[in-house]
Amino acid sequence: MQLIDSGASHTDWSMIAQTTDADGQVAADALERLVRRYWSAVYAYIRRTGRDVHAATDLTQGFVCDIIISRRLCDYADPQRGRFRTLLLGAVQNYLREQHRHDLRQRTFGVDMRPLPLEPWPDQASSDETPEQAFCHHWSATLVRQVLTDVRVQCEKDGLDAHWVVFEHRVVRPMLLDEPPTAHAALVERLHLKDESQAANMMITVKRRFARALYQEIGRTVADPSQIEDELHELLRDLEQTK
Amino acid sequence: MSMVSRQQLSDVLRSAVEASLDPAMASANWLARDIDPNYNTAVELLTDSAVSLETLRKAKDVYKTMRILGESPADRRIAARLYAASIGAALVHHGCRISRQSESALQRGLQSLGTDKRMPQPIRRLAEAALIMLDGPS
Repeated sequence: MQLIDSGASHTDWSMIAQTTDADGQVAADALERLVRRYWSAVYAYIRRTGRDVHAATDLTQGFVCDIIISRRLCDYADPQRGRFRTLLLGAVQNYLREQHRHDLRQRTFGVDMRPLPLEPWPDQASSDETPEQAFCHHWSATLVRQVLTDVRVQCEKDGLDAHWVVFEHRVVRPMLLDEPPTAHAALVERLHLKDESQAANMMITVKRRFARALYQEIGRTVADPSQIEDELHELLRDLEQTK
Repeated sequence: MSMVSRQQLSDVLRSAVEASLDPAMASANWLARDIDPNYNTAVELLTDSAVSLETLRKAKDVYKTMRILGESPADRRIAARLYAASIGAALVHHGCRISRQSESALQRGLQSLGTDKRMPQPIRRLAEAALIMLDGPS
């Protein structure tokens, strides 16, 4: 089973810069990667403001088309002025206010101009989160999934396939699929390892790679490596904040 | 596929912070959690008087392996210390020897652990207590 979506990883700020590239294809590719990267967090935020699945999907698509593409949100992104996700969150909040006013006007004139719903997005909104918590939750999950993909690919390149299997069964599957961790003894037998201690240490090897890769990935989202710690602690604060 | 919970994501990010502060001790702590998720750190596991002998045997085995397979010299040094500490913990908490090392080798290991200022104090105190047990009643 493919547990993790594949996708290229790029520095967010360089990706944002590329969205204004003179080469239209480069700009379009960068924009697509950017949208894919932040879609889940934007959708989760909108869903938690009380919109149903279809409305949240429509609004997310509308936000991408109207704000990110038409109004060229990336032109306003500046690493010196703060994090991109903060700019994005503010833009989503403004967009929803704008849409609310628009809906009121539509109701006044009795004409529904909303686009027909397209593909429904999976409903992942947790019931006890504020919209801001949902945004942070989904953004963090996007980061973690990206890092898991990168680490898996790197393990395969380095001939650490068995290490990855141990990590996947002890850490990843319990986290993503809510499965109990596979017993060490079963992994020893399946992978022909020396003993359970070897399996445990193989898991640690990948877990450490994962921790390093997560730092690198967060480093891609900030303007300067010195901001990685701050960003990590801010994400932790948001995740651990109670409503 | 279910959404990763906020608690799980928080644990993942905290692990990354832990690894950035002290990679060797972080690895040792992860191994402790892997043995028994009720323990957050290697120190907690080894100094708990209620820890089972089976858990201590597992700790001894994983740290023995880490002593050989550890990525860096710091990993291997910490693992060697915690290997000795696991044996010491079995002596202190259960009055039981879980190693076939000679008396003198065991003493040397525990003495080195007891005087290693880089190791957490509760682990050093455990080594001192184990040495007393090893010497027997005077």
